[in-house]
This record gives sequence, structure tokens and C-alpha cells, in this order.
Amino acid sequence: MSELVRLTSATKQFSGRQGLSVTALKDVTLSIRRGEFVMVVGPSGSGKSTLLFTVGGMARPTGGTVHFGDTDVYALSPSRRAALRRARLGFIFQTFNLLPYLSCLDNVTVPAVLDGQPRKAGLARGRELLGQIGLAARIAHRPAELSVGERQRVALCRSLINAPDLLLADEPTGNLDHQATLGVLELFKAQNALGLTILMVTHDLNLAEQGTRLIRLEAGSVVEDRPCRHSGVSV
Amino acid sequence: MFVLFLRSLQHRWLESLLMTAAVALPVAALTVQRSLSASTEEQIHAQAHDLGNNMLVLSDRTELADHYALHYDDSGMPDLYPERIASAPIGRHIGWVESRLGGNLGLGKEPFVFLGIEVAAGGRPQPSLPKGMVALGPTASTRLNRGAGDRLQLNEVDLVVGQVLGATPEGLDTGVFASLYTAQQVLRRHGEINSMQLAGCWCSLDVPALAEQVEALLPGTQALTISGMLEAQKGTIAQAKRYSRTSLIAAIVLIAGLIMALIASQVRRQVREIGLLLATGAEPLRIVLQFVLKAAIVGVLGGALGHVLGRPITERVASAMVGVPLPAPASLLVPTVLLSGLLCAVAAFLPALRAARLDPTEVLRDV
Repeated sequence: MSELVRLTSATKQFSGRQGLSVTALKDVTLSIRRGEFVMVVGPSGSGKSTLLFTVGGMARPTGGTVHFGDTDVYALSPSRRAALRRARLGFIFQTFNLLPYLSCLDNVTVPAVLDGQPRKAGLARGRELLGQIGLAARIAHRPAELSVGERQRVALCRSLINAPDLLLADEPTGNLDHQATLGVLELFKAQNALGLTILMVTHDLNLAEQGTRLIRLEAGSVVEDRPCRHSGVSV
Repeated sequence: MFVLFLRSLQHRWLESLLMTAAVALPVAALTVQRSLSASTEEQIHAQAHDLGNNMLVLSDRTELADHYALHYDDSGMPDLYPERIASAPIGRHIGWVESRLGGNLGLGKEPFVFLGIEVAAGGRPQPSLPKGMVALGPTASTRLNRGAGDRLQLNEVDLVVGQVLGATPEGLDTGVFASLYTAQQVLRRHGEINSMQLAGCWCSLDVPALAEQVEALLPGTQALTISGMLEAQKGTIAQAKRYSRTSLIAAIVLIAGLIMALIASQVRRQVREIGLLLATGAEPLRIVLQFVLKAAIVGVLGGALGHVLGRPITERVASAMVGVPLPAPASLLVPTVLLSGLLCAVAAFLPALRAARLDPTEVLRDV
């Protein structure tokens, strides 16, 4: 498997009030290969989300580099970096962040619209994705009319609309009940089986073992990086 | 992106409507104020143009403003005054005298101005409309449903319509024009006039001194020279312009402040939406454009709405308050709309820039 993401001595410090600074990532060096399903775990404040946003081109490291393929992400202009996020990255968040005034289908097509793709093609792809996850009947519904599990599935479709190389998921099951969590995880696994690389942050240690690789962060440093125990086993 | 923008605008239609109204109200007030100011100036110039370098003689109970506000009151003076001027020593300086008697007439619910005019040159009356014949302004003709050759009865006096005027003096569309004698019959004010206009070659004369002589010769009158009148009204124009400038600045500050505050409030309430768009690859410039464009649309619509509201307010309410016709100049529409749109766009720029600079990692971080 070829390398998709490489962090080299990535450090991220936040300047706090009264001159105090917080180190969210400390000299992190790791690489993620295509097709991996990487779970990132660690206690609150360990730098999991910061790692995700740093890989996603939204949090410039104060030290070190982040490469996406051969591209040094933070050497790009903000505009080129935005284009990279549009075309090659998908994002999914704990609180879904669906736009309340758009239908499911329109929410799914937001990244395609941002990418300037033809509206008709975007809508067709959106319908296809929603159909694949069993929400074909809900395409005209607004987010408020869906269950939380359904909302997260819509958010997943949105992250996949531009056929990204890497899916970045920040606690995507944090707001879901057990059943919905399993459903979303199945979808992630199915996408991973189709070749999508996933970097997912979670608090749930059992869930974390369902990926192909587990990275544990503590105080901004990688303290564990190993294959998952249940790798390849469906829950 | 434009689709998203339209959906967002549609979703927040009430807010957008309120923003438009917030822009429209100061624009409407400004339109009325500008019209008042411009109209005051136009009226003064029109009066000066109508009167030329002449002298206007009024009953001393008549205000000039009332006279030109087309509200003719009951104050009057004898119509033998022109003869008295012609026979006095000052008569040699007077080229011609125009005597007028005006009054308001109501027929049913329709108001008309009945105006009798007689011009005398060298002491002798010049032929004008024959007795019993009237000329109608276009609106008067329409409202009375009378044309040339038709008969008409006003205040029990039988009249014949001699002609319908295309353009009427002093904008009196609802005017009914007649000879002085006919006006006195219809208005039942026999032997009266309520103003005189004296014209002559004054270039080598002391006109204010001549005006004093006219007043001494005709007790109960006031003689106004146009130069003196203009001098007095220059102050009015200057003050109107000052008010106009001040209100323009106040409206600009008010609109800019409102838009800035409202857009800033929207940005605060939409941080997650903006963060999501930034995270999924929206360029910061697009975020700026989204808010600036929204403000510009609100500004253009508000400017147009304000102008639309301002026109009837100017033409009806303000005209009724001031007592003179105040047409809202149509030429203000395009500059008003452009200025309003531009102003709102500029005012929205700072909060829009803040939106574009939001850190998605902060606003999307789930607590």
C-alpha cells in the first residue's frame, strides 16, 4: 500500500491567555497508507482532534510538516489548500453540522457545489449515495425530520460526495446510541473495503479495535501505534 | 455556491426582509428630505423666474408663502390700485401691471383653483380672455369633464370653456383661468384683487425706495422686490442644504451601522455553518462574498423600497405639510439604489472578513 499521509515531527502549540501555551501535538511522526482504517484514541485533551485537523489542512503545525501524497499541505496557499480539502478529503463530525434549511440531498451535495461541479451530476451522485445507505426515501427531508443516526449517515454521504482519498471523522459516533453506532461503523467499514482511507477519532475503546490500526495519543505524543485486535472482524 | 446562498437567503427571509426595511426607512426619510430641500430651492428659483426683475404687491396680511402655496385667503385690496399707480408720479417707472384674484373652489369633492388675471400696460387693460370665458388646466378639464366649447356653471355663473391648456402657469393643472372680472364674479369678490405684479425698467432706479413709494401710495399693501426676496431666501436654501447634508451623513451612518451589526449578528449565529463550509473547502473569499453580496442585495432592495415609499410620502404627506407640490425627482432612484447597495456592501465587509477568518477547528470542535 502506498503512503497517503505523512506527518514529520509535527508539533502544534496553542498560545493561551497570560502568555501560557498549550502543546496539543508534540513531535508526531507517522504515516498513513492508502486503504487503512486508522482509529485514534486517547483521553480528552490528548490532541486527537488537533491531529485530525492538522492532517485536514485546517490547523497549521507550529513545527514539522504534513504531506498529503507528495504535496506539502501547508506549503500551499490557503486557496489551494481549500481546493485540496474539497477534492481529496472528506470530513465528518460528532454533531453532524448539517445545514438545517437544506434537504438531505442538498446537504449531501454541498461539497460538490463548493467544488463547482455540475448541479445535475452532484444531485445524481447524492441520490446514489443516499440510496446506498438506505435513505432513498428521505432525500427531501430536512435534518430536523431525521433521527440522529440518520443524520450521521447523511453527513457520511456528504463527506463522500467528492469521492475523497481520505475520510477524517471526529467522534462520528459520539452522539449515537449503540445500534446507530454499529450501523455507522458498518458503513465506514464498507467504504474502507472499497478502498477509502479513514482516520477516525473516538473515545470508545471497543469501537477503536474495529479499524485496521490503532494510534493512542497522550499529551500530544503517540504512545501506541499497532494493528487493531479485531481487524477484519465485523461487529 | 450561489445555490447555497439563495437557499440561505430563502431560509432567513424574515430576517432579510427586516434588514431591507431597516435600510428602506432611512432611505425613505432621506428621499423626502432631499425632495423638500431640492423643491425649496426649485420653488424659489421658479418664483424668481416667474417674477423676473419685477415687484410684487400683496395685501399686507398675505404671506408670500401663502400666496404661492396656492391657498388664496380672503385678504384683498381694491382693483382701482393699478389706476392709482398709473396716475401717480411713480407711474412713469411702471411698464405694465398684472392684477390677480385667486381663490379655491370645490366642486363636489374636487378642489380647483380659480384664477383671474388682467394685464394693463401703459395704464390700459390688455385684451385677455373675454368675460364669461375660461381656460382649463388639463386636470381641471378631466375632472370637470369639459373641453373647448363646453358650457360650465360655477357658483351660479354661466361660463364657456374657451380652451384647454396644454401647459399651465405655475403648474396649476387644476387651475381654471379667467379674466379678472370673471374671477371677481365667480368668487363673489367684486372689485377686489389679491396681488399685483409691477414691471418696469428699473435698472437706473433705487428699487427698494420705489417699493416704499408703492406701499405709501397703496395703504395696506406690501411691495416685495424680487432681489430683496431672493436675498432673504438665500438663507433658507443654505439652511435646507445644511439639513440635507447632515441628514445624508446621518442616514449613511445609520444604515452602515445597522447592516454591520446585523451581518455581525448573522455571522455569530452561523459560525458552525461557516466553519463547515470552510472545512469542506469553501474559499475564504467566497465566504466574504456571500455576506457582502447579501448585504448588497439588501441595500439595493432597501434603497429601491425606500425610494418607492419616499415618493408618495413626499408627494402627499410632505406636500400637504409644506403646502406646495413636492415632486420626488425620479432621477434619484438609480443613485439611491446604487449608493445604498454599495454602502451596505462596504458595511458588511468587516463582519464578512471576520467570518472568513473563523478558525473551523475552533467552531467545529465538539465539546
